Amino acid sequence: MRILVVEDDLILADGIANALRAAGHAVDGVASGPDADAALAAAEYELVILDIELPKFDGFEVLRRLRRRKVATPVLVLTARDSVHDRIHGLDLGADDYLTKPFEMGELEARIRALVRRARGAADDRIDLGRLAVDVKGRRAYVEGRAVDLSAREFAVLEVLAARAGRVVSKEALISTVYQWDREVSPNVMEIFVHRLRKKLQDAGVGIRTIRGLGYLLERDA
Amino acid sequence: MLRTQLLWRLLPSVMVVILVASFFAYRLSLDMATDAYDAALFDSARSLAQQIRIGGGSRPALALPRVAEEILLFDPQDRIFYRVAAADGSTVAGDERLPMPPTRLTGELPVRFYDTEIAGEKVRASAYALFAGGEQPAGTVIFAETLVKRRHLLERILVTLVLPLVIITVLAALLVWYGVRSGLAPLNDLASALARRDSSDLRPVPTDRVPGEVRPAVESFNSLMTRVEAAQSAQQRFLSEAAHQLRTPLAGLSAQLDRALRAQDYESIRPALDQLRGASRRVTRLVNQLLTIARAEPGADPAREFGEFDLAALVQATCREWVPDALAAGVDLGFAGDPGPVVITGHESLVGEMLNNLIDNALRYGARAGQAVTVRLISDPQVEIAVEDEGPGVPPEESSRVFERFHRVSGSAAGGAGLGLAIVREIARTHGAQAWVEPGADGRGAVFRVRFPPQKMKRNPIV
Repeated sequence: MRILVVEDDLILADGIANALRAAGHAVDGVASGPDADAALAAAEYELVILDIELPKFDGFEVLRRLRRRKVATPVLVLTARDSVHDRIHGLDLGADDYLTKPFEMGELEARIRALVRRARGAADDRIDLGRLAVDVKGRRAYVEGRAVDLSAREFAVLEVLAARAGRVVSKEALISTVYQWDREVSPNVMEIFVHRLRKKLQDAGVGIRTIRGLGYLLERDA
Repeated sequence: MLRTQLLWRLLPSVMVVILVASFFAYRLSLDMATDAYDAALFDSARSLAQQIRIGGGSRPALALPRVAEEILLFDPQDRIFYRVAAADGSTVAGDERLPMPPTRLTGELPVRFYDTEIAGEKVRASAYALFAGGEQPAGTVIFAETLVKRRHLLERILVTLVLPLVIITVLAALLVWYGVRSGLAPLNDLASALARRDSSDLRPVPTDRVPGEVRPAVESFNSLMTRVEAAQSAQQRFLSEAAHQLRTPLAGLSAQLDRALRAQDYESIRPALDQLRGASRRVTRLVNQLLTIARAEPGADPAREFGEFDLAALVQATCREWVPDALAAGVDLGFAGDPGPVVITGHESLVGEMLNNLIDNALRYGARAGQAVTVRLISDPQVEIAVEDEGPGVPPEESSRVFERFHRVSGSAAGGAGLGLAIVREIARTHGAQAWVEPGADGRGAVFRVRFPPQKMKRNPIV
């Protein structure tokens, strides 16, 4: 994937470019507003990482010119300013995501993956977690290659938990994936689903934790 | 400007007073002078009347010697006219152009003064009735004079009375001008003394030379200066303390970098890099906390960005974000209480930051692996957030000091700069909320509570 990094702090730009190259991307770097504008006019990128505080004219202006040319390339804005006003201004101008400095490279990489996935209009069709594999397209789950016998609703719950593995998913969010929004469903119903899933995934190397008052979290066994 | 303002307020009233005074003085002296001239006119008319004999048929006849007439009719300034008329109005002697009085003279009112004209010239006339024993007057004597000396008198009155008043007005204006100027001199001195001051000079202004009227203002200014100085030195202490706190992780960064640069292979670089990661996280956290404090400060006016939001949703979302960290530390982080919605008015991102610091504090100092941290949302009778842990608790003597900036409980784990709870208190204060710590229910652990003020009841929209 070809990525343009617009950042005038050379140490940070170098760090980002190296990490992205190590992940297999082609990276171009520029350090001022006009250079960024020229690069974006000359070549096609799949993603732009854009600093706001730039020499000559700022990242907001680069973004404005890019969107004026009707270019839909995803733009991830980087800035040291974290005021809500700045954030809204950036998103209004057509930024796709917003990351405040300093950030950890893992966070930047995760955001890039999400942006590109969104831009390509496709979610991962297969999620691997240890011995568990979730085939999103085929609507089936496998443990070490053997299919797990799941109902459609059980699979829907597992799919959401697996897609957000390591993070807490609220009961309400899970219920809304399984039932129509207008049906009155007791929150306890999810306990039954989770109980069944835990039983069926005993050997999958993953566990579903109940987080008190907050929801459920799927994690790999330590 | 005060001087012009005073002058504009003062001058019109002085002018009005002077105008009214001169008007009445003028009227009074004019009346008195008129009375005096009228009396002389009447005397002349009576003298003339004494020279009249009422003859047969009650017809008056004037027997006036030539010399007497000349004396009577002599006046150095005015021309004199007279007329003696019979009861039927016919002229017996004198100038018949002189008009009769506007009303008939009677026995009850035998004298009349009136203004009239003779050959187009204005005159003042005095009419005197002649009686020969009957009820009705037998004739009328009219004596009149032109108005030259009366006009002269008028001019003299105006000059001697009104001119001094005008001069007084001008003098009063000048006096006000200079009086105000010299009265304001201490203020001007004060202004130039303040203008010359260095911006770092926050000493109080001496009040001994300041006029009494301005003293309250100067004293308020001085007390403001004192507060500014206190706030400024607090800022200065905070800034220097913050810089010192940054030095420590930076020293760690630098030391670990040197270690990494000296390392010969990846195996020996690796631990240094892990330490670098940790030091960099500490710097990041500290800088973020400093920025949060700056945003929550009253000077940043966070109330401008207040709005309504669902506190229950915010608390749960914030807790969810902390769960992975809690799990990594083996801590059971959970939520309890009102599942919402609990709508309050406030600065949503600052309240989120407050929650982050409460939970961070509980995970950092309040709980060890295997213990639980519970975030509880209470909405009745007042909205309250309680973060309960099962850790060592906060000693009573520390319970208010833990909220101070840069205060760390002695003997607690390293890593923090002592800003988290200061942020909690600062953001609570911004929302009019109370923040405090108390021992846990069974004496174990600590409960950090933030109680919001009663929220304004929202009216139900009419459907």
